Amino acid sequence: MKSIKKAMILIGAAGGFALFLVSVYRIFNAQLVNAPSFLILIAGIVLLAAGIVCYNSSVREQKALQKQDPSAKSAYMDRVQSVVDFSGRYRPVLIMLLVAAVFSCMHPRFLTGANFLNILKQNSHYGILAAGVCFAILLGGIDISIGSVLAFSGAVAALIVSSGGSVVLAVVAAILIGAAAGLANGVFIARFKLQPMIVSLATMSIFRGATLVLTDGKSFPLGKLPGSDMFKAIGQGSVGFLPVPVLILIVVYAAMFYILNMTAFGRHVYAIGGNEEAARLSGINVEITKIIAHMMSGLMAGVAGVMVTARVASATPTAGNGYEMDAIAAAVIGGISLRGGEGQVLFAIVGAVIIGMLNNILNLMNVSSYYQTIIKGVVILIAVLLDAKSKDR
Amino acid sequence: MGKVVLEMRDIVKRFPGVLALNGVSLKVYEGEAMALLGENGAGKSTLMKCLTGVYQRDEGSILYNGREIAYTNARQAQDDGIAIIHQELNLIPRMKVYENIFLGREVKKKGGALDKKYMYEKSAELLREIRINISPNALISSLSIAQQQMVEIAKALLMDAKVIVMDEPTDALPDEEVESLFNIIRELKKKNKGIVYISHRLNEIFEICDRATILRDGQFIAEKLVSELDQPSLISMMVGRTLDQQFPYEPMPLGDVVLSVKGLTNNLVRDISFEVRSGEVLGIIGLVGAGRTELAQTIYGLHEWTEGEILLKGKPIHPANPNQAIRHGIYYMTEDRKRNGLVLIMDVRKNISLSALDKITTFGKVDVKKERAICADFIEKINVKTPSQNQRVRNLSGGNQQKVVLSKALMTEPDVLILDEPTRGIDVGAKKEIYLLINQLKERGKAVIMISSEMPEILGMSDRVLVLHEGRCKGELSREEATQEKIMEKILS
Repeated sequence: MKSIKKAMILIGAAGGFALFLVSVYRIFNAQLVNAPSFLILIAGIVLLAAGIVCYNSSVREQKALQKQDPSAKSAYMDRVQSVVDFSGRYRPVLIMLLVAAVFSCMHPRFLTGANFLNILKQNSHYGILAAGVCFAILLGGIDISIGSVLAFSGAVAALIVSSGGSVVLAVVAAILIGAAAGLANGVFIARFKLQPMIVSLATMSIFRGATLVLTDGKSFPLGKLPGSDMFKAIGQGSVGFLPVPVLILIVVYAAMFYILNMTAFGRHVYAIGGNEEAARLSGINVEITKIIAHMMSGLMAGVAGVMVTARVASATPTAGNGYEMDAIAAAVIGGISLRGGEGQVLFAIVGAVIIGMLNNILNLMNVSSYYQTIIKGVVILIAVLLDAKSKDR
Repeated sequence: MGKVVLEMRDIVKRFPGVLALNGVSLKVYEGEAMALLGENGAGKSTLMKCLTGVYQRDEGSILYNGREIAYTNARQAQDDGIAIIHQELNLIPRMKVYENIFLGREVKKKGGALDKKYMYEKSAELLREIRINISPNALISSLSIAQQQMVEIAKALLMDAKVIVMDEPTDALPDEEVESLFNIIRELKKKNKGIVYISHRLNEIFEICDRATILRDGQFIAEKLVSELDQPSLISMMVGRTLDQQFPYEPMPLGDVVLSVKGLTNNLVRDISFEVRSGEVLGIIGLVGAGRTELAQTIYGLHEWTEGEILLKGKPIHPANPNQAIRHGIYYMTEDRKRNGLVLIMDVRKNISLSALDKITTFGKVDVKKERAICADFIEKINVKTPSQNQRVRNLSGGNQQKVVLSKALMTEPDVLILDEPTRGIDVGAKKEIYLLINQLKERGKAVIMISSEMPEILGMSDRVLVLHEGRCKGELSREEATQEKIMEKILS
């Protein structure tokens, strides 16, 4: 009984802590009683409620099992296990809440609605890259070409817009180029059975070079044509209070969630990542699934390319340099296992937000960006370590 | 009677939700082999892990050479002279025999360089001691599994092990190599080593072991001299009931020919012809390397073939991959469910539906409600013991994992089901259940091909037996004709 209580406290800790912070702010700073504080409060309550539901259902399950098989002993220990499982499954969310709570103590401007939306907006392209790279990681592979693909497809879009082409054409072209790049990765990886790391390392170089050729090594602005304002809106505009990038982010994640969790294709991706040989023998077309999954990764890089170009209103040869790092880090911090077959795509955005919050607080506190890079590296190491330690396979 | 070198007394080990060991005792005698018997989940592996310090016991004591021990990791146990030879061998394939024997215990010269000469000679001596003819310079990858096991044993001898635990050592061994392993065990007994022998193959127990300790559901049942035991009494102690009939064969009226293979040839099998009818079990037997699995996999589209033909219900087919084979109505259940039969980190439900997702998918979307219903049905019908559909397959016992694989196969509604070693590594009770399921399949008019290394299983369950040797058909025997001797005769002819 003692250990159950311990585990329940563990679950409640994040929610409870957030609750406490919100009430402190209520007392000392009336201005800070706003949407995100309530979001955290609600999240805390939801978390507690979910913990209780999980607990109850496991008790019911255990009872049912005991009826079948009286030798199954000690329902209590199973309950403890289920609570621990639960906090393990939602660990990225718990970490996000804790990080948010700690950071809001560190700087008064951190926990404001505007800042929160700002974090989401600034990191939306990371989030989208992370959603794409999830496909590669879930397969047990990796795609490090996404930063370069982002740059190239963004540059093509900028070229089309600045030379008077239609915005729709620019967007479609960028996305198709991304998908084609992913297709190339996929074909080399699945068809010719090359290492994903090496293949995408090569394509990373190819697309960076192609970007340099296309932009002649210089950044070029979108120009003053009527289309360019429309294009810029993709990165800078907003619908109501929601910035367009955040809107795209939501749509993309809804789609990715659907694809990975509801479709047969999604199942195939998880199965291949879990055990490729078993997947093949189960009649899954491993080759095509892998190719499509890598296409998704490239396609998302194309989407992110459009967003980044639109946001800075120009194509730069160094755009997206090193973005693959942040995207992969977001996925890993979001609990998507680098060994493949495990993880929930929705948590990749949680990972991206955690990284975003980290950058944000360091900026607010005027920490040099040089140090930020070091800190990010340390965080990634910790995330990978947690992944390796938590689930033995 | 030898003296007791190791004694585990009243060991209790609890895991969340399970009392894995409840007062289990085990004695190991010098110069004798102690069989440790029990169904899967009886607690054999847990007991051994408590011994070597992988797990910490909750209660009880372990006396080794008269003193109480409590290791915290396997290395300490090894250094103290308790060696375990696992099912999965811990050797590095690309390294030489002597390098493996001395792995982690390399002998160095003064300057820090490895003393290769000493290690080579010592390895040669150890191998001689157990009368094995392998060069210490041979690469592990060039050795047979049995020879690799012998290297493991040599490794144990290097550490001057007093107690050697062998966990299912013959499971991966072809029949003809089992005898050489037994010779070594006899050699070890002469050297006064205490041996713990874990195996599902009961006939081996009678051949090599002196005593047997039987566990059931984490409880100690008995310690007996093997000479006082016979197979039925042993089984009844293991399962807690008598198994009236080991092989519940039932003849069924035969239907039409479903699958017919004519002159199938590729680089793995040569000129294979046979037929299977609906309601029939065709047993395929042969020594390891006979091409049984390769034949099945060729039919399943995993290997290319150019000559001969495969007819399904009279129509020629040529599946290029498992996907096509499944669409034709053929399903192959692999011999190694953990390696390539299941996605262990996925749950029971997703594993069951993996091969038949198209049946429950509309416009790409999986109908989870339907999926749950179908899986619940299988779990009940096939009697898969799992707390829920959402349980990861990894957490199920071997027998239940096999039932998940079988459910997965049946969900594709195959006409021809190829079972490759369907009862490997599962306990006596679960084996019987699998046999009963095979009978049900026959009843429902499926054509079943069963590949097995266990001769009694083939003889007990098949309607007809196909004998393979070195990729060739060596003949066919009806159920009435087939005997162990006849099969060996065919193989050797």
